[in-house]
Amino acid sequence: MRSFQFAVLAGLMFVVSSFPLFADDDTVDWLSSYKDAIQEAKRTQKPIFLEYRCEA
Amino acid sequence: MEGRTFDAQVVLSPKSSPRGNLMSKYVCVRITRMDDVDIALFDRDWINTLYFFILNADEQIYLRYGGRDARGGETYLDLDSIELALKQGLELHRKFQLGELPKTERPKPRFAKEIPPLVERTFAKNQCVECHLIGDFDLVDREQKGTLNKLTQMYRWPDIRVLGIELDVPKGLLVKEAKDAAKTAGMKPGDVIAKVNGTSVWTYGDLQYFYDKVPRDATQVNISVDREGKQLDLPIVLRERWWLTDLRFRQLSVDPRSEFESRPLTAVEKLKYQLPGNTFAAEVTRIGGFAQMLKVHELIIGDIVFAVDGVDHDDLANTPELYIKLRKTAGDTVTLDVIRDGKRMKLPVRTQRMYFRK
Repeated sequence: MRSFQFAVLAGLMFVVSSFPLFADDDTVDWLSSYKDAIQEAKRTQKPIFLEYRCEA
Repeated sequence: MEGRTFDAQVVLSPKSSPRGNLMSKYVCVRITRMDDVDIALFDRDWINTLYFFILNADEQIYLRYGGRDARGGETYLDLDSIELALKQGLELHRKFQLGELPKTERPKPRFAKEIPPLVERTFAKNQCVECHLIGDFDLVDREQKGTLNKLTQMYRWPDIRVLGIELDVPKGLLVKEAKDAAKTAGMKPGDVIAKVNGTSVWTYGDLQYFYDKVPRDATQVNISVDREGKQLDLPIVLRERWWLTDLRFRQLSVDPRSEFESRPLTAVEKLKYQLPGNTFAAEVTRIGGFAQMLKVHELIIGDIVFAVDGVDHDDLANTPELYIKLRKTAGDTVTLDVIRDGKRMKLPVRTQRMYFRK
């Protein structure tokens, strides 16, 4: 059961990390470029929520 | 919560959820390659595979989220506390926009490509620059250049529990329990930690980051807490070797592993063995799992170790293994003076350098 859960999560994470811009109608939008995030923050005047994730 | 699960929960936050609603007020960005990251600006405990920053378009960091201790990588990861951090980040951004938040000085940029042994191990082989490799090869680089300060660089990220502080993790910096030095200084359950030596902290990540900045020869750290609408400054006395933490889970290349643990002898025991009072003599209490397999040494539990390469005392070390960690290089062979069954003998220790995670 645990390995199944892990496989599902790993699959989800693969999907997430495979697209430069992860966007879904229901979930929060994520950029994958720091430079783009800075530009977008300048444009929108929003703060940046930055995640560093080592997946190795 | 396990890091991978926590990551998935945050990344896949529904927009309609309270957390997703907060995140929609941010530009969210997820970086999975460290190649071009400014490791000076985004300095952190590199053993964490997951870490968050909240900052603005000028690259001013408002707060950090993440961090760990010897209990595990997930100890301080919590969906409630990250929601608190997201709320706090918005408040800090509002203050920044109103000019109420002073600008912080940006450190000189530094990149993974500037660490030669890391380049050799990763970029040159087209391999991923993993977070823990950045931290480890930075230390290796310093060791090779002769600039490694083991107190501040190998023994980074001291544990706040040494002060007697136990946090109520889902509630951010709310103190769940205050014992020992923290209690003596007046800290109480229900206090909210607000500052470390005058610097504001909002999360455990901040607390860990700024607590690490305390000079290792300091005898006191000032922790400010919010209590019933007032801020109180609590000077907490730092005990000897307050910076000492368990390095085993960090698996650092520069950490000479001697595969034994010991407890310092009491003054009475030193007299019994006719050893000087200031010696770091200690009784072996545990033999590491690799001692026999890697032929590190032939110590046995109960041995009294009273000198390393003829040295029997040190300003910092109170045990022979700490002396080895601080004063020797991983891979060195040292000679121990040992008392076993009343007889004095010399035993070699071939210290180990960790490589297997590289």
